[in-house]
Amino acid sequence: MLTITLAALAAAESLINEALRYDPATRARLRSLSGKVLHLHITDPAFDIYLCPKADGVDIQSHCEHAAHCKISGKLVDLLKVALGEQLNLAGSGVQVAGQTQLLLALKTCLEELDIDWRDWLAQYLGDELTQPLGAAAERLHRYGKSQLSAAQQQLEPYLSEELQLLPTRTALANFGEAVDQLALAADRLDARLHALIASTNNTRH
Amino acid sequence: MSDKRTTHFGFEQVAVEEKAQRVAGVFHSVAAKYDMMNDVMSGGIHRLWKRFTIELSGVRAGDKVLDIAGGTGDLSHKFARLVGPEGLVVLADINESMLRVGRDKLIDLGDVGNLQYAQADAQYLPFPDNTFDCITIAFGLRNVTDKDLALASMHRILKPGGRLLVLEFSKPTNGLLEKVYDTYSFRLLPLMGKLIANDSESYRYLAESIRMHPDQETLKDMMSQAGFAETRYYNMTGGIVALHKGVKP
Repeated sequence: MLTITLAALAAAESLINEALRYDPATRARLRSLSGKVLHLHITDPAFDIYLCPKADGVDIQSHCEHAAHCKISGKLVDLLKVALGEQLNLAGSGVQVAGQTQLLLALKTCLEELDIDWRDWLAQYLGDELTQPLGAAAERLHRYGKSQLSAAQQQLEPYLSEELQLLPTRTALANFGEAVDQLALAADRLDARLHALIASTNNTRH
Repeated sequence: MSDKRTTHFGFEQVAVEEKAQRVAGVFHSVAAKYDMMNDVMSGGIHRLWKRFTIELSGVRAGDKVLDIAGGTGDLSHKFARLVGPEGLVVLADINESMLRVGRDKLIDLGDVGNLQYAQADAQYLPFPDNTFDCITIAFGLRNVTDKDLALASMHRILKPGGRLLVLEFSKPTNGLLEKVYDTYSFRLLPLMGKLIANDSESYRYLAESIRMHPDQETLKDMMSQAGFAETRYYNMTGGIVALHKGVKP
């Protein structure tokens, strides 16, 4: 298992550092964090990762002999939500942080502001003449895909809930959730009253 | 009857003074193709074993590191980056051919300034007491004639609190894996040695020497006997390789 973990981390580290070669701004930001250690304690599935920023990228380790400057714990799903989401507040996210939170914020900023120059990478293999039109075409395709995806997301929800009536609307779902909560509270109250009634009946018998 | 002291060279019993010479012969023979054979024989996994050794070493900027039996310098290359210009890495090997290949490779990789080279016997390390923060010996201890003497020598030159890391082939933890591994070692390994390095005997010695090397628990006890504290080991790839760690109190 250790060998597989090491292989996965080595592959991820290699991929990330190769990508960072084409983003000097992020590399400069990471350089300022050199020597710090971020410990990711993932509870489900259980494993630990240590991120150590350095001058020319980041080391990703399965084990670290030095004390971490910041430790972040939680399920993998919750950690990914926090890493990729925009919210900074961790309340209710299922993620706990201990130590220097500035390190976490700095790394999150690095991730958000990642701007890899793929054209530079591609130019190594294809040359500038071919890379320029290909890059422009890829950018147009990316913009088109992004706008189409956004439109599809906006249209899909009303189509599924209003037209096909396969899914409830957000309001109906919220109302249903509220009704379930009320029912749960009422059941709890009833349970408490029954216990009180049983207790008073027993006292009367004695 | 002769009272000459003997030791093992693979499955063969040889005179103690003869072993070092025979081992030297093996490594003179394989030095030129050592890196390529390592990759072919292990499928590149030796890089992961060494990676874990680096992680566990806890080496940081400014440290002094000794890489014994450092061969072609895989660990020294990483350590040179970690210790930085303030630190020092000494690549030591008893074998001149291996040391020359390692030195040429590291110079080509741009590792200069904080790296020194020493042709040294692990049993009699030519360094003052309490010199190093970390000592590693990767796939070298099994070739040493007197392992206890070598461990004592390493203990002497480590600073108090310094770490010794022994990366070495060991005993697979699973019976089935052991059978597959035996077949691979005794049939395929010499064949690969013959095809790639034109030297099947050296790779037969490699397989035999692995079987003669102490298993995980025995080596751990030997380290404790040599004076190391907090000795423990980590099995890798089903125990085919184990990384032992000890701290000088």
